[in-house]
Amino acid sequence: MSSEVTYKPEWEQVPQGRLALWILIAGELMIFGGLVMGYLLSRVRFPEWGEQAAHTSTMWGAVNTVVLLTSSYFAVKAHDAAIKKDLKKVTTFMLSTIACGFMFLGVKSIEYTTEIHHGFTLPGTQVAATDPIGSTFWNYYYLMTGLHGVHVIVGMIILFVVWLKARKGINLQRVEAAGLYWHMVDLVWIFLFPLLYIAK
Amino acid sequence: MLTTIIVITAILFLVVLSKISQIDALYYELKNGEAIREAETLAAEEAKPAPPVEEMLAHEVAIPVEGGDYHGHPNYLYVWGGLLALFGISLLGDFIDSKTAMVLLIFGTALIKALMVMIKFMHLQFEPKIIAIFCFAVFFCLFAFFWGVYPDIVMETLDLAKK
Repeated sequence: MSSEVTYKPEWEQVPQGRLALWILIAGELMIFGGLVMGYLLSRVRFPEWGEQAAHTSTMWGAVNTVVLLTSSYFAVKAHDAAIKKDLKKVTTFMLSTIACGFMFLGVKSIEYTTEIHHGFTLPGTQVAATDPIGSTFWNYYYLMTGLHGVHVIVGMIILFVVWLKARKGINLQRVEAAGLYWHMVDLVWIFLFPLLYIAK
Repeated sequence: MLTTIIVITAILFLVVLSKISQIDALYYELKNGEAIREAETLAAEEAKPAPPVEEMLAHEVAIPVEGGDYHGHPNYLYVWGGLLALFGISLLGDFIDSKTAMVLLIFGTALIKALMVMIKFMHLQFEPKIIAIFCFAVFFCLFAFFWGVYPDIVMETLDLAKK
């Protein structure tokens, strides 16, 4: 077990890159938070959305949650290894995080395929014709999970770019920055999962 | 008449321009003075001898470095295990009939999980308080947004619902 807190800096002493990343994370949380709040309001307004939510696959959602939580663990372990300058472990953990990202996207594509196959698409299609209110649930579903998926892809690209240098021991401090972004992606999913998959 | 107006305007323009250049010069003078003072302070600070390593260790102090690591590392495996355990508990929400209990369970566990990720994985506990305040201000804004528009969305009968 590593050491606990050693030093609590003043905010002026926080490295600029890390400070900027926290600002970015706060902005991202605002975007997803706005969507989540919009969803919650509509969900209260239209209780019949529960019937639509019942069609989402809890099993696949659960698999993706485990995958993302594990990827966050790998990301933080990569940071830990970067501090210790253990380049082999940095590579192992960063590539494992990226692999988890691929797994997440793979599961998500299976989910999307099944849902679209069953006619749960955006308004103007099968469900919309018979159930205009219920179909708006799928608007939110695809918007929130799609935007989250885009963030997963961006996170994977960032991790890969950082890894290219970090494996040679260059710019190891960026491993933490990439990890912070990845944790934000995980953080968003922590709220999306119960909203879209469990609350029926 | 027009010539007089043009001449007066030109004079006024020149006066304003000269004033601006004076202000500009004054600003640069002040700025230079400030820069000199800053350089002097920095030089004085650098001239001070560094505290002995033993003293720093005794006070559990590490020197912050740009891009450096000034925080500790908790046992991440325990945190990951805790997150998975909470996730398992949240799945029980699928089998609960009471809506209130379900909402409390799934969002309660989600909140704890989010805090664990932020505090332990993102090392928020080791960052200055201002960053935590900054992040939680986001949640406050979202809370205000939710309750601010709640009456309009939930209590208003929409045309779509009438149909």
